[in-house]
Amino acid sequence: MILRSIKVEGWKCFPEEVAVGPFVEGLNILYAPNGTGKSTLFEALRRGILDGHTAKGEEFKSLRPWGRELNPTVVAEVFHEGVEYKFTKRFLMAIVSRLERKEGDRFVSLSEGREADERIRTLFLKSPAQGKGSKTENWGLAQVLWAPQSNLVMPALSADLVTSIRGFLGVQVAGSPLEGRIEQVYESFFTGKGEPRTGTDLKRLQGELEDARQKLKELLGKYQAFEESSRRVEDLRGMRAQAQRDSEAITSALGETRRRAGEYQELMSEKGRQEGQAKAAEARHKEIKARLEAIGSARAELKSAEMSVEKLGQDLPLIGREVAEREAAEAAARAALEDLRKGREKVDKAQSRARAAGVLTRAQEREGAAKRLLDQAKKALKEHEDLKGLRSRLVAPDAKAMREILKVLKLRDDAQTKLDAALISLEVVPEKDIGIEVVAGEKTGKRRLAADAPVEIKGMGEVVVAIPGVARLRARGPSESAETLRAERDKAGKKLEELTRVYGGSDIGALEVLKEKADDLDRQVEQAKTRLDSILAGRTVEEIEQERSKAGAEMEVVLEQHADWRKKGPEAKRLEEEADAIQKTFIAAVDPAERSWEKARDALSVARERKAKAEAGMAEQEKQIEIIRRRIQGLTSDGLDDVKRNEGLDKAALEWHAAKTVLGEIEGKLSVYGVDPREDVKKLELRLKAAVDTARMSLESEKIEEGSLLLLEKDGSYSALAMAEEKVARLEAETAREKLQMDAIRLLHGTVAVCRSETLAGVTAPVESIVTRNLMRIAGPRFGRVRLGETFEPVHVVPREAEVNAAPGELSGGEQEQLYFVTRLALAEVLSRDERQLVVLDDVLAFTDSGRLNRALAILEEAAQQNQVVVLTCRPEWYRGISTANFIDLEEIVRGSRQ
Amino acid sequence: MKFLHTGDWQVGMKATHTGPAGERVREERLAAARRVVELARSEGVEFILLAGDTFEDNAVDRVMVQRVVDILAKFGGPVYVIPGNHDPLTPGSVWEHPAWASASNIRVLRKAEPVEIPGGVLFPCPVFSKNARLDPTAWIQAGQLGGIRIGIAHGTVGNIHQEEPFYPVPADAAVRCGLDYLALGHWHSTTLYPDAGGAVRMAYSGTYEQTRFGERDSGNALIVEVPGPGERPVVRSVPVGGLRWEAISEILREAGDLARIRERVERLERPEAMLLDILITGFLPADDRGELQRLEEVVAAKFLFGRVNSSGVLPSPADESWVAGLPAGVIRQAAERLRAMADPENREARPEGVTPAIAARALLELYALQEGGGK
Repeated sequence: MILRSIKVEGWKCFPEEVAVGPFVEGLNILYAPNGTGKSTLFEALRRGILDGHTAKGEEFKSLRPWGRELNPTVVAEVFHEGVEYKFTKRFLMAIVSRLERKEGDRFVSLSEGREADERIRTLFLKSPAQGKGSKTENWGLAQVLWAPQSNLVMPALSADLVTSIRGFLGVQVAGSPLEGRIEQVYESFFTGKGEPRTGTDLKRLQGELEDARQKLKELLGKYQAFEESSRRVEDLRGMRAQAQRDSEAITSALGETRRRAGEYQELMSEKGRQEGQAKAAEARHKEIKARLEAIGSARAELKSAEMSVEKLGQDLPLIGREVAEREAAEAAARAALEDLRKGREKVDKAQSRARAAGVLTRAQEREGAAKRLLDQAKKALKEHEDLKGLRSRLVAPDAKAMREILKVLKLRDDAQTKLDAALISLEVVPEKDIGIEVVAGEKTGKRRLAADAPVEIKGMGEVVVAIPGVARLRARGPSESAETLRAERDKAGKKLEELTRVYGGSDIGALEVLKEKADDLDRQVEQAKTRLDSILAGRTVEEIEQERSKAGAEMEVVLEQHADWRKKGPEAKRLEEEADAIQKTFIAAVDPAERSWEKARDALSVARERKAKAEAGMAEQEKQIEIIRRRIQGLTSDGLDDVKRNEGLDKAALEWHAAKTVLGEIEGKLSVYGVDPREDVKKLELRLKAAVDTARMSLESEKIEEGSLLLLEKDGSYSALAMAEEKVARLEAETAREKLQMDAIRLLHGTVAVCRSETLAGVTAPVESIVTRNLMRIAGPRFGRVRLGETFEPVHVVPREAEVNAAPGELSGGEQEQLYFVTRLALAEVLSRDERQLVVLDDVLAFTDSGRLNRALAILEEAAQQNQVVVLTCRPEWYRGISTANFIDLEEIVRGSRQ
Repeated sequence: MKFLHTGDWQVGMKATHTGPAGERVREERLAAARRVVELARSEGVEFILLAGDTFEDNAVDRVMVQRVVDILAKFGGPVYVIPGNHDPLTPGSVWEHPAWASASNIRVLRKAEPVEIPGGVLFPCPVFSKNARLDPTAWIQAGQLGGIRIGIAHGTVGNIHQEEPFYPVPADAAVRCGLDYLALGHWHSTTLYPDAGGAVRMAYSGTYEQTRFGERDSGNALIVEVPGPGERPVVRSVPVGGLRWEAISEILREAGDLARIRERVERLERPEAMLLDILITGFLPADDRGELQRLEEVVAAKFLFGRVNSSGVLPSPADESWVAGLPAGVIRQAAERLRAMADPENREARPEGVTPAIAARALLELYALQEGGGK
């Protein structure tokens, strides 16, 4: 379809009729500022083709010019398949739909009303009959051919359009009835996600199978319970029989064991009696023997104690004499020592005088050093203050101010340079005297020029000089305004003056000398400060003053005690040496006397200890003698003598021996029994009781279990199990059959899908090649191959060097629009193989840089050789380089329509 | 002495792979029991010996016990029954059912001890557990007793190969025990054991009604006549079974094979009393695809139970006619791929999880859809 012209009335910003055209069959640039109605014009064309004339509602009311009850109307003349058509649509009120064909030099009506709606839609944009309205999927060919304002991104193409494109590419990949049947069968089994449908036989069978297996499991449990119960009854019967046999055997063994236990018991009683007699004889024998031994021992101890007392009585007077002699010697040594210690006072006095002399000497040294330091610091401080005074009086720019001044100076100079360059200069050298008129330039008006005298005429933007009867000369230059540049220069000059006024002038040389002088003074101030800091070494002058005063105070304290040193200072070293000599003499005399006294004192102490020990030993022995005598008295209080006691000892020994002999005989009889038969009786009685209990409990359990078995038996669980197993087997077989069929259908469907996908990949290949080639022409070789999806939408770009494919959304805004620009043009190329088509690009390539834009326009110019291209733009200058383009100024047309 | 020897009735058995025919299979076993009793009466035997496994399991429905007792009671003469390894004499077994006591002509032999019977002595070998490796006839010492000496036992004769030969019975048990005839149960095929002189003194009657596919020489009862002690018994096998279990296994090699199989199946007699298991393998030519469905329809419609397993059938590699007739493009390409996948040797052509059987079936589905059929 080729658009010849279009008329719009009562439509948004077009209350009056606006007629645009004629459009050429190649490239048309429809331009106007924003808001003029470029997009509205093509919205009207689109709605005129796609919307039924009876359409209404808020969406259509909003098409009216604001505040006007007008009826949106569009009339378009188009050329299609060798025939000139005209269609008219009016919406909301006085509605009209008419399709006319040109016959000769006039249009003849072909159809009207709904029929016209239908024919217009299918004829011009191949919009599907069932898809009415302006939704993108109903746009037909316009989905690809018409790019809405600032949006080159393609919508998901409708199935009919995709089919059309594939048709143009000569491939039929869908629509085979067999494929349809396969799809139908597949959908009867599976959902869109490939899951088996809920209502399929397989699902039903699987459900039944699961139930049947569950039932089978339950029945198997019952069957096993029956078997288990049967086994338990059998076991319990066995246990009961065994317990009865055990109880008979135990009863027989118990009688014999009880008889033996009686005999054993009698022997044990006799043994007890004999053991009592033996123990009594043994005790008596031990008691007599112990008494005899204790009496002998006490008598020997008494004799030894009496001998010790006698010897101590002889030693004690001798020890008393030695103590007296030691006391006299210790008193003499102590008196000699105390006499020598009286020389200590002389030593202390000499040492005190020497220490005072030392303190005085060190205080004098500190006071002198502080005084010298104070003199140096005061001198350095004065020098620093003087230099600071000089610097504060000097007014000069610092580095930051200088940078600011130089920056403003550069702005002023640049502005001046641009101003000079902005002026266009036209030199006229007349060959004879002539009159000219400066139509455009700095100074307009008529002027006379003398022969061979060159005249230069300057102007901004352009200079136009009219030479009457000869020519009208026009020189063009950069469009930048000289006034703007002049204002920038003056502004910079004013700023410079403000910045330098304080320094007495804007001469940069003088300012720099001033700055150097200030920098030199700054360095001197810094050096003086460094010297002062070095002298003070981190302290203040006040701290040094305090130190000098403190040293003076210490000196005064010493001199008050030693007034003689005010006239002449002491010799501290000599006084210290004298004090040391006096001390050494004193120590040499006292040390031997101290050692003699300590020796005498120790000897006295030893003698006194020996005397005390002898006296204590004497008292202890006397006490022991008394205790032993009382013990002997107690042991011999039985009224017997030693002879009688020995006779009693012999008798007890004989009785003890006789009892032990009888016990040995009894032990011999008992050993024949081995284990105590009374214990056997107890064990057998317990075993008998256990056997009886087991038999009774087995019988009880058996009866209970038999009851359970009877109930289980009545269930006939095997019969039910058999039927359940048969059902499971049948359902398993049916499920397997059904599953095989479903697997087969899934495989068939999947295989067809894979084959179709591969075929479709082959279909898109030629379009991919065009898109790839043109994208590389615009953006360079950075991009590799562009991949299109089955419905021709760009899926990803395969970069030449990167390892990961880039989806369209990952490209920059400019690159995205370039990708969709070349894709739309490539598809337009396919769709126009039979007939030239109308391609509409509304305000596109806004994000493309100028270099790529030029290359994109070359591709657009090529596309216009095959299709009619209408570019809607507010920047016509972008397209001025295309010599074949037809420029249409919509603003002028609109203005004309209002007059 | 004339008696009927039967055994392994397996009443209440499960028929797992016979689809919905399981109930009918069970009913037929009771019908066969009635035929055995009728045979005994028509032959005028003095008693019946039932040599174990009367029931499939001790947990069968008690109604079945009552029905078996009722059938045996109708014989009127003595019936001697021993428990077998399927229905051993254990607590809760079928032998505890009160019905046995109510039928005066039936005697369940619960102990291994001689029993007097008309014309001689019976040596019973009842079974007390499901499995054991003891010779059940080992206790019999019949040589000292007078009259005709008959044994009845349930076990495995030494020459029968079984993985678990429970209750082993020596091949010369009858002679060794001094018996004129030893009636055996456990083995489902009718088997006679002639001695060196050709006299049959030991036999399995086999089950009276076939129990599964592939079971041979079953569905019989034995009529035994023993003229006198030490004399040669006359043993005669009489068919009493009602159902037939037929297994057919065929390999398709050329066009028309499937039609021939169908015709053979259609010729089978008494299909309403036949269980049929058909296994078909080999290559199926395209033209015969319709036959497969026809065969399945015939089997389902006529037989008591029928199963056609054709999962091993592959499309014939030599047959390309119908694939070539498919629409050019996607469908034909898909058909060629499926054919490659269906080739068991061509493993590389198959995606994971796809078997030749699935691929072959997919191809058959495609064929059906092309022909206008399909699900």
